[in-house]
Amino acid sequence: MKFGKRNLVLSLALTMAFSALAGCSGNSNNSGNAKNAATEAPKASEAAADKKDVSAKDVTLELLYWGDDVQKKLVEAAAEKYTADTGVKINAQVLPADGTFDTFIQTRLQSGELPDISYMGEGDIQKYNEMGILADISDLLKDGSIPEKLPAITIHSPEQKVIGVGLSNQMELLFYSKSKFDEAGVSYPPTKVEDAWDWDTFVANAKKLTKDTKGKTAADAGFDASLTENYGLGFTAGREFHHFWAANANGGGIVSPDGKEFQWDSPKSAEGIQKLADLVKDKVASPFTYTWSTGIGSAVDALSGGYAMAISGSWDLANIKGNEDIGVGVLPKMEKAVTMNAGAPLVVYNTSKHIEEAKKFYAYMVNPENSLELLKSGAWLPNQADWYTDPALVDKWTGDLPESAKETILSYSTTKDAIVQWPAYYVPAYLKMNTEYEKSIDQALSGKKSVKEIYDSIMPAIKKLWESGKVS
Amino acid sequence: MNPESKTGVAPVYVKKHAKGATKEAVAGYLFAAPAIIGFLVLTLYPMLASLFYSFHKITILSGSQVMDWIGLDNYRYIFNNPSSEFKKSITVTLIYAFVNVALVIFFCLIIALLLNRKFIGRNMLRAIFFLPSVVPMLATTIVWQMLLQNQAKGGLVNWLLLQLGIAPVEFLTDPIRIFETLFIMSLWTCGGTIVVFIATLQDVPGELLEAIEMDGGNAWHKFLKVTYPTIKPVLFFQLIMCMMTSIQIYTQSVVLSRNGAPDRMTYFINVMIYDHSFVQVGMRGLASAEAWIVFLITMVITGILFYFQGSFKRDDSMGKRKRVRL
Repeated sequence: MKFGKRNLVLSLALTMAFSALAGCSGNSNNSGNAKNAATEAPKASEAAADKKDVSAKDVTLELLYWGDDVQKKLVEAAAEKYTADTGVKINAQVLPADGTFDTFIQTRLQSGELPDISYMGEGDIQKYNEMGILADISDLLKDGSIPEKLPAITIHSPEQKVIGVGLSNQMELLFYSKSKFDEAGVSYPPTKVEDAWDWDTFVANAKKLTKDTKGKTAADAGFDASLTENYGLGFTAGREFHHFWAANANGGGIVSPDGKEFQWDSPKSAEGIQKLADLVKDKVASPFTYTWSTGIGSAVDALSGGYAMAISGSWDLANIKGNEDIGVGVLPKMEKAVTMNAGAPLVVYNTSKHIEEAKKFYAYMVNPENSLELLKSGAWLPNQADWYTDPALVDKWTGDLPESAKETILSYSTTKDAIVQWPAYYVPAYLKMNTEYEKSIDQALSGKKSVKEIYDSIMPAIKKLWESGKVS
Repeated sequence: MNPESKTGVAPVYVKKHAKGATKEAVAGYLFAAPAIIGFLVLTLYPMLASLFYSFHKITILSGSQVMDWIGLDNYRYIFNNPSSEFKKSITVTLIYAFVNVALVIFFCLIIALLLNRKFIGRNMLRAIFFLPSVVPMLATTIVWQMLLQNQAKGGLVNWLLLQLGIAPVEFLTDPIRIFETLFIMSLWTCGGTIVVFIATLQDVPGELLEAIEMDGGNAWHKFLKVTYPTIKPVLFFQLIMCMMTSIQIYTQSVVLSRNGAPDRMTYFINVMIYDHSFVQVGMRGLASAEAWIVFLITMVITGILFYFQGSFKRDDSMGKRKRVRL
């Protein structure tokens, strides 16, 4: 027994020592790798330039991206074409388009095995920039390898380096069900920014489209709000991107485009969000759910159910293909008619051993010509300004879109100041600020408290985070 | 005195016996080695590492992890900083855990007692109650979400309520209703516990139940005097397991809501720790400290339950079993 205990103790101790050593060595290697890679990235690029005898065929780049089966096929086809053209092999790995993508990147970072290129969530790019692992791609724009992209999806670091450009452009749109509008005798929402409904018209129409179980609309006397069966408007309450447009439309904002003015706590911003919340309170609108990561069905599915209008992102255009009942219009006007845009960027990691090759592949990937199928489906909108103005280029991607969607998108894209940039792109502390915001805003959007009440309690902390100017 | 000791036979026997015992011990350790190594490498080492991390602020600069020693600052932040959400998170978690444990144990026991009776279709009913527990929690949660969401989005339950002239219920968006939803889902998936109880109920001595019946006792007397004393140890085990899994609730929150909505009522402790570890920046040390406090709280709760373990000991007529040390 004694012998056994001694053995046990010895083996336990050895295993612990071994595992601890393994852990330590892993850490040091990882940090070492990452550190070396970070500091030696420029050296690596110089070396790559010097050693021209290294064949492109020996280079394999790893691309990490998210997407469904359609997107997977398109990305794989683009990668194969690139390999055929240049000899550079692409190891493209797909992940689901949800929160696990960021976790996966962080895990790869910890293990010192970052890919060469990856998609990246808009809200995460400043975080990874502060970690010092993103390559500066300003040179690609300067030397013309990448034609000028839409300013709203060209992402700068606080030091004004370009750290990414959006693979696509996305914007918030107003989807509607034509049959429900026809039934209520309401004219369709306009498709031109200058014709946007003012807020009162929008509310009046939303009321006409809201029905209780007895068939009375919210505009009729005797309407029973507690038995509302069909809502005039639906929107996703769980994500700030889907309602920030209202703050800007009402003459407020979140953070000014130059990043110098904090506008989030302004009375006009609060009032804009309150206008949306009031619709929920009056049972004229209802948030779909508070979920976004595993949302059941698209916003467009909601229009087939009990919603007459739905505010959602342009990516939902891919879901309306073949559905003649769905139309698209511009968002209503408060003080002004605006929408907010997004567009997940592609980034190059400075830890890449083949940084020059990675940058060339980057330029190839962000070229709209190489994502034509996605553009045609409506899942993506072009990331270059000339694709909205040059008729030949416009025809390339709008042929399959409903006319109302085409008109709305082109109107937003060609009207001055009609698109507001999502502050996630240019406010370093945005991730933390938004975390504080999302902790509480659902209480206002569900009508439990007023937006002002919520703002009074959370804005001092959010402003402090903005003033820090730091991600962490 | 052992007469054999003089003959010299005994020492040889002892030596042989000792050799055999050693071999047996070595074999035993070898068999146990994978589990021991697994525990050390995959559980103990990460635990100790997270304890170490909990005293640091961990950031990543230029691609490498930087750890700054900050002593007990993470723990101070958890308890003293108004920005810390630990108190609310642990409170909602514990409220969920205690109510859930009580509901699950009570519900499973009642169902197991009913399914232990002899009636036609018993096996089918047993299968029906067990079946939902084999479905992954993620799928279960999505199905419940589809059932309980707003009628305009296709929620069947609210649509039925509306057809009956009853106002729809905010199952997923009301801070209190969301808990009711979570409890319903928990009861829906507790088939495993029902099966364990049914298996334990097979041990209840039938002759004692008959004796009570002959003495004029009713079903309550049978349960109190025979059934309950027999199943007490299993009840205790299930109580501990249910408490632990309830504290670890995660999937339901992540699927049903974002950011613990509504009003952070589903921002359970594991959701918060994951959030701080993998979503937020520079909070991994804090997440480690939070994980350790949760570990200690779980230990205390388990300790309290063990303290009352005496009341869960089986006190059948066979008397106390003595633990024999070999």
